[in-house]
Amino acid sequence: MADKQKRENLCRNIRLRILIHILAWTMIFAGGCERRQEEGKAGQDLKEAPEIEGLACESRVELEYAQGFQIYRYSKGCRVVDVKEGLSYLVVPDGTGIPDHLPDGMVVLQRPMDHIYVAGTATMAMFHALEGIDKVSFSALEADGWYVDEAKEAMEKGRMKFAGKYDEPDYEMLVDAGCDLAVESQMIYHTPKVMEMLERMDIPVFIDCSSNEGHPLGRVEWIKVYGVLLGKEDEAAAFFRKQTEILEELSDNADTGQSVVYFYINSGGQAVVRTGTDYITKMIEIAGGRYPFESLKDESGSTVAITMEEFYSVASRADYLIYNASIDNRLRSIGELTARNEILKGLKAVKEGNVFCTDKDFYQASDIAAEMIRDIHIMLTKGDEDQMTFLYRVSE
Amino acid sequence: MRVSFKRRLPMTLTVISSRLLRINMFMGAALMGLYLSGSCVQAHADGSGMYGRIMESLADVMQMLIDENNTTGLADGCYVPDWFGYSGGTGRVTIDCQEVTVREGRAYASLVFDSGSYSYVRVDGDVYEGTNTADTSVFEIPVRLNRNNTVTGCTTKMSSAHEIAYSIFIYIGEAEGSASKRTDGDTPALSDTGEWSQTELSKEAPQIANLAFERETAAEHAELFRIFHYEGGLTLIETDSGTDPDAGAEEGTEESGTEPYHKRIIRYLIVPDQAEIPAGLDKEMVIIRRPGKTEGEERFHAYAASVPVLEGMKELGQLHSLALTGMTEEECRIPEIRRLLKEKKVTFGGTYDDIEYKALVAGKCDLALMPAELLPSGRSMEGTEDPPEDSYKTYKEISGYMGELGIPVFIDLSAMEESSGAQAEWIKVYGALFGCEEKAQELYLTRQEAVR
Repeated sequence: MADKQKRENLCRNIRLRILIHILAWTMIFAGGCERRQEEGKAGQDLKEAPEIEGLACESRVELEYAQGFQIYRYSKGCRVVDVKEGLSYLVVPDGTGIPDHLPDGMVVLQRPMDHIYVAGTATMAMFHALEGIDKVSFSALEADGWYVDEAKEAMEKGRMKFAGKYDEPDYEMLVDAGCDLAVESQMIYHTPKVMEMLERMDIPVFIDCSSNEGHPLGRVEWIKVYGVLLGKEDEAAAFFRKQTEILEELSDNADTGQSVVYFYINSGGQAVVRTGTDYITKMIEIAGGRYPFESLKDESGSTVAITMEEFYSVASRADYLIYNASIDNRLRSIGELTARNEILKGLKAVKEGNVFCTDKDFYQASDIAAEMIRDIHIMLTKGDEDQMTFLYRVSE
Repeated sequence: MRVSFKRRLPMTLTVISSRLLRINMFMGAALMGLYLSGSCVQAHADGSGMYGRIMESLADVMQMLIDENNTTGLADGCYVPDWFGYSGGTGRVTIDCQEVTVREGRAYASLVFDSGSYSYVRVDGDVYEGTNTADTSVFEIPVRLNRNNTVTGCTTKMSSAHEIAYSIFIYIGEAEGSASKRTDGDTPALSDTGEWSQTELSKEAPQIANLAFERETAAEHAELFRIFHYEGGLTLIETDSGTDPDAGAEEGTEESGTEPYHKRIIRYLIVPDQAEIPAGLDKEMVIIRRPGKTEGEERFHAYAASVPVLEGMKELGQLHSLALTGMTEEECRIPEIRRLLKEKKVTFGGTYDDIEYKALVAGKCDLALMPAELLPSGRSMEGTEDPPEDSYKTYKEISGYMGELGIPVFIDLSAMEESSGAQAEWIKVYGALFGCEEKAQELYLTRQEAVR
């Protein structure tokens, strides 16, 4: 009897030990596999990074929404900003030498850059968010063209000078004052001669393609690029995190079922609405609203002009109207809107008094997309309208 | 004694008329007073109400009487402009005007934009809507003939509405303000055609909008230039390079802004510093503005890569206008200029076919004087071979970049003249460029004497 028991115990022990071994080795292998998978993934991440003689690519910046660029970290504090539909930029810190051999077409930006010419309007908001306006010496808009107060003030005080519109820069002024970087919007592609001439003046050109991003926070994420250019990467990451947090606070993002129409009336009397893939349409959807014109498309991507009749047929049942005052002037009353066209009196949103308006120059405020989404959310959930930063309710 | 009726009449009339005069003056004063106070009230009134409306109409009447606006002495009817020019905008949209209508003594132009995106234009504060098709926008606007008019067009092409300012000039020879109207009839003959020849130099002074022609600086031996002087200190220099610079080049349109360079006959218009010229002339001619006076004298910051020009500048005492050269100190054969290079008063700006644009911008270059070799036909002056293929590219590139920088280019064709006498006569051209024609004439005559 004892023997039988002993044998049984032995068998159980052996089985137990085998089980333990199996479990242990499985875990080791699994762990190892995971590590290798991670390493493999990291290697995959950096596979696309340009090869630069003398510099080793160390890591890649994680992106949450943006798809139009990549930032790679290299040795010696260098960074490469790879713009998908554009160029590659090697950003070299102050005091570090520039490698001798660079890939074809790579543009070198040597820090510090503090006499910058800003000709892309969305860019100024990014500089403002990073407290880098003092690095901007030249602007392509006159003082009253800027919504960013700090830029307006800098121009009025003479710290920032008007150096000509993007297609007619004052080369003499830029060369005289040692301009070290020109930040342009994609409009510069219409005038390639200007870009060539700036390069001949030894002024490197960075083209901001943030307006290609479909997701509004994707646009804001370009602040990480400007963080690299200004040497303020931590500040850029912090700012972006705050924006995503605002979005996360909108816990009840669930579809409110309410529809919002975002539009303005051009001087031809047509209604200009956003297309279904536009970033403002996305903002409305993220905020929990529906956009009745979501099936509209256009090659230019963002807006379409339609007749008032077409507009009415779709917008008549919309719950909310947001009038885009970026182009037009602010609406002071609903009466002002219906005065443009009688047909508007029949809109549901007009009858119920749910007409809102944006502040002028909202299109320049690329850094606060999250706040705008929150504003729309407040509107849709009938929250506290005093909390709105970019929208206001239009009175009767 | 009773005065007869006959005698009383004039007296009565005098009394009545003087009273009327006083009444008129009183009424006039009252109206002015009402207008002035009305315009004050208008600022506050919201336009509604009787008083507001009366004030508005009164204000309009006064405004019409005071303004010059678009009145014209031309008879009512339709006219085709003799010449139309415009400036402004990016060059991607062209404007044309083929019709001017005069109604009740006022001129209206039919302006056609070759883009369907223009929603309105603004003239003198008033907004005018037009008719749009897919490709055109047409507006009828009041215009002052034979003068520059500012027109602001609003385009909705991009995501935000843009206002773009243009300047337009409509020339109608019969209307007031034209050259023929202003002179006393003893002006020298002008060429009949409104068109400027693209194949030969003008035999008579060409008509340039409403500018009055004064005199010609004749060329006795030289065959490749003409110099005509117009009122207001404007000088036209025409040069003939013998061939169209683009003939033989591969297909390709030139960019806007460099058209004057892509012709066989290049026309240069020298304009005094602040003078206003008809809008749009810069599309037909190279406009060279005289520099303003600094310290009492006019000086360019010229880049010169042509040896005959440098020699000419030296002889005319115009080296203070030289800022950059197209040859290095070692290559320069003119001692005075070599010295200026050595003393760094003048810098090397790159050779004529490999220009250092940054050096020109840093040197505030405002005029580039190029040798004939810049032209493709200038490269093959010696033999009969075709110009090298890249010479077309170089010419296009350089004229394009200089246009981008706003630096006018003058191409010296003296080397293309057949005789040395003709070559020497180009000193008259340099004299016209630098505003020292008398000195140039003196030098020329002296040389002539020396040869004899």
